[in-house]
Amino acid sequence: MTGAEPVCAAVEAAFAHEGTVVSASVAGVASVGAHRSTVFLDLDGDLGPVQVAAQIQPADRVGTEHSLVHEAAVLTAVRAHGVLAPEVLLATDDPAAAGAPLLVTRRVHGLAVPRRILRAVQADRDLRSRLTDQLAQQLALVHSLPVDGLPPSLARPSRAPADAFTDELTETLAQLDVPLPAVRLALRWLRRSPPAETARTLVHGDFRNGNIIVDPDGGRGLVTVLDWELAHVGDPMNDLAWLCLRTWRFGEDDHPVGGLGSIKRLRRAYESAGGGWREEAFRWWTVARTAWWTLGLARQGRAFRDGLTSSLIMAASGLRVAELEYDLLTLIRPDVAVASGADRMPEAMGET
Amino acid sequence: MSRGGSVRDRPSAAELLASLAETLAERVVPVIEGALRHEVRVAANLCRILEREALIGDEVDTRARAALLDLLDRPGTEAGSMATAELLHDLDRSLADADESGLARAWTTLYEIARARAEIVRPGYTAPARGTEPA
Repeated sequence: MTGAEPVCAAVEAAFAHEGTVVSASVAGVASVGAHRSTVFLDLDGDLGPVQVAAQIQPADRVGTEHSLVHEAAVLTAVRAHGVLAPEVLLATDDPAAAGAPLLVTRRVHGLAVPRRILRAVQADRDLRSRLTDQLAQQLALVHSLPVDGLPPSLARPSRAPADAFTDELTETLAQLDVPLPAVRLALRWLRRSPPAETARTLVHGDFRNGNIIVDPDGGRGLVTVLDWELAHVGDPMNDLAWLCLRTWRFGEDDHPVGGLGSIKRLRRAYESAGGGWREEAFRWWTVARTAWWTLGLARQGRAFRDGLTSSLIMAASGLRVAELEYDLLTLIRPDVAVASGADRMPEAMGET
Repeated sequence: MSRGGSVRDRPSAAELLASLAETLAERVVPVIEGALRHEVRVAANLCRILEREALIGDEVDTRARAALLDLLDRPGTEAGSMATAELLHDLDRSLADADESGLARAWTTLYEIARARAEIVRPGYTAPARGTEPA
């Protein structure tokens, strides 16, 4: 497998650096991205036979909140409280250890591809309801963790999360230098009525169908929550809004929670598990994250046009901006925006 | 034998793109796996999008420009040669000072443009919602 064999050497070297002797062979490639690549390995030796996922990263992220060592610390901290996060076997930023930042976690088996998860759920109604409940319960658990006990490297905003987020969006839009008046309109909407402040909690930041592993057999359901790279301290409704964003329904508009279940059920399970659902904040973060993803896709398309990537997927992202702009404008329809503070879910939201 | 420059004897861009999409989706995707399979699916879908653009893209863009010119209150001839991106920049800047009614008008124009563009990228995406979901 092109490019994957050096990861074996890096993993063996990193373990050896800690006095553990293993041999690694490639079992498969999970993903290759600009910021990190994930490879599946079979290890043997001092740890016995174990299947792992190894993530390797360019060196310029060492010491930042994007560092793999930081992420490992987050995984370990949340696992200690029972959150379904991957088990860390090794994490290092030390170039002497492996030559590149490396994070090795125990591999979890199950369905990771969203469309496959959707097919499994379509064939099994019990799985549909169980998974919706489990997603809610995991988020309620994540949002209940004592913030003080979390790694100091975790981003903690010094201002209200909503204000910090709106400023970040404004800055991103300015840097992008592509005219997106739909996003500009959304920024005005966001500034006009930010959600009331609430206790800040751990926020996963990228909790969605696409970052979960599901075991459809034997009634297990959700087995792991992946990709804690965007974890930070902020407003918990951010996680719920992102999970329910239209773009993560993969065409299944009848099941707004990741194409899997109903928001009604999600909310009920979240509240039963101790979570505090704030409807106005949910609406606000739905608009905010839709704007954020509009910009994210525009940046990917821009990177392609600027020659920074030749990836077809990135090029295609540039076209998908049209979908997100449509979603965004639907959410901030003026007659809806005027009726702010209402508890009802407006039809225009596509949550419908 | 030459037909004296007629274009009817040459497959159009739209027809070629449709054929590309079909070839990729039905002959290539079934025999590959993993990440590459996903990439080729995306490629096939892109061909379909480009096919729709080839068929109706000019018409959609013309309507979008007309709507923007109308919203920005620009005489057609003066601004007619401005790139659509420039018109969008102008609109973007104008939003900073717009009042409520100006914002509402901008929303209406942008919504119609976004709807037409989204339908090219993903037909059916802007169809009315199938049902309401109480919170």
